[in-house]
Amino acid sequence: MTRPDDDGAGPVTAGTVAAAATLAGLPLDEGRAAAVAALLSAWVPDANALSARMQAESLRPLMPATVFGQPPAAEGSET
Amino acid sequence: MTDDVVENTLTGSAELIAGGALSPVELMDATLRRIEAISGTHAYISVSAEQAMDVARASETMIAAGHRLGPLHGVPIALKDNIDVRGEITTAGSKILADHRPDADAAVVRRLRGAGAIIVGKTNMHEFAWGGTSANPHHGNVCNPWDTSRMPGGSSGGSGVAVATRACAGALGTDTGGSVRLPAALNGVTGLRPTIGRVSNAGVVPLAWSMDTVGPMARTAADVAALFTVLAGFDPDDAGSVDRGTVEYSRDLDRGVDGLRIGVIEDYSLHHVQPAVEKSVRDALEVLVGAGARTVDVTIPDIEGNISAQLTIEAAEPSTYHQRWLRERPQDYGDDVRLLLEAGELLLATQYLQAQRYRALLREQATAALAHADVLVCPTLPFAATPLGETRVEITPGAPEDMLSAIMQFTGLPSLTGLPAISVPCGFDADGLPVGMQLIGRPFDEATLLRAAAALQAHTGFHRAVPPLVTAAS
Repeated sequence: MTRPDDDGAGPVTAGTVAAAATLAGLPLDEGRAAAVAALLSAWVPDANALSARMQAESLRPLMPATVFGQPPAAEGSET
Repeated sequence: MTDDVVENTLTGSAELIAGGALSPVELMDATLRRIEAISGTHAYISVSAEQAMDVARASETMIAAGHRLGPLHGVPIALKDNIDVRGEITTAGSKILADHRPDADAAVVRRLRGAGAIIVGKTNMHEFAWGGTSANPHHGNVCNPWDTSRMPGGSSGGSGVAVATRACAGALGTDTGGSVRLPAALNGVTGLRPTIGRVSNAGVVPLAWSMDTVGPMARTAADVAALFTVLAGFDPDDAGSVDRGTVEYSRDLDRGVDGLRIGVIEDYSLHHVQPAVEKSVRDALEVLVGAGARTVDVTIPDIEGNISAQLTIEAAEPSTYHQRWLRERPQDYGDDVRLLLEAGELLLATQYLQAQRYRALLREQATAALAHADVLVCPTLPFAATPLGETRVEITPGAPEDMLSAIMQFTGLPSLTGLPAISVPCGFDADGLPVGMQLIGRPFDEATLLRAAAALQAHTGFHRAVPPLVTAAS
């Protein structure tokens, strides 16, 4: 859920990136954390905006495109 | 012996070989000389000269004995270097896989060999296919043959350059977010992204599993159709492969576009593009309308958001595949790819899954648009080839944008929806750089895309234009 006091992106800083990297078990030194923060600062607001749109009630039935599709049963194979 | 034989199209060479009018050995010899002549473009990572000549000699012997393996008998084909060839190193454009020698051919390679094609070498690419410029710190930056100070697009940049310079008759690329279509457009060749699941990915180093597909590249729609006919089909070794019937894609190429409905997507198809790109696409549309097609307006209400969804998915999935190497060998990645992989690890699962839900929404809306149109049209990308090393591009003068996002502006729609799309040459900008038009089709209806592309090529000569580098090399 988007918090009322932020812009939808949250503060993407070297510090928050470093914290997230720790959670992910990804070693990132200070310089790399800053570079990743610069990149994610461009991506995260848009990703959060899309997430917010996808929370619409009218879209609730949509499933992610990651679910398995099963092949149609071969004729006569159903019991 | 001259190198003129490499000017033949793929289908032209195949026909000449079948009729005994062209020797596979002569063609391969000329191709290898052309590869050498354009080596400064860094289009190839490895060339199997000796092996290819051995196979060419065997092909010649077979033809002389009246035996033809298949429709590509004796034709030199290049493979992007993320496609496995038994016993040959497959680097995926990386240092990480510098010693990776697969013990089996990729499914698409087996199909090509079965049709008589000769694998001539492996082409350069953006490292692990994660980027759109084919700037590669390990194997050299691939250069555009229309202006070697510019980039060729990517990630299948080497394949695009090899085709444009006649350093192969046709090539395979892989396309996740546009990696076949982008280099096709920027190098003035034709490239097809098939319906997802139509061509096997078995034996291909993945980028993003849910969007990856192999795709053919060649100079003409007829050549692409010939390659695609060989490549398409079910493969039980690929979990994403779809068991749908295929057809002989060359069959209806000459049927024309009379009555074809070309959907122009409101506020998208010709929106936010460089003027020369817009003009080229509009001119091409006029050509198709002159040949009997008609344009119809369609809408995809939620098209905005496609770039973000693509970035999220295309970042998260590779970061999963690379998780171990990123911890054990981070220094062995190029700077740009390492940064993308690190960033992709930190996206949230909810952001990723909302992007995947957005794909379902986008597919619904694209399918609805395709109920009113047979194909959808837009540029392949909104700009022409940029200088090597640029990370930003100006589509609107004075407003530089991030290259990675900008380059995905139009290729994301098919990538996210799994729909097939083709990039076909449709003009040149004022600097003589090629422009590509993208046509998007219904699921498994690649035949209509190929037919429309062939119709455009029947009325224009952009696909026959020769890059300056080729003129210099000839």
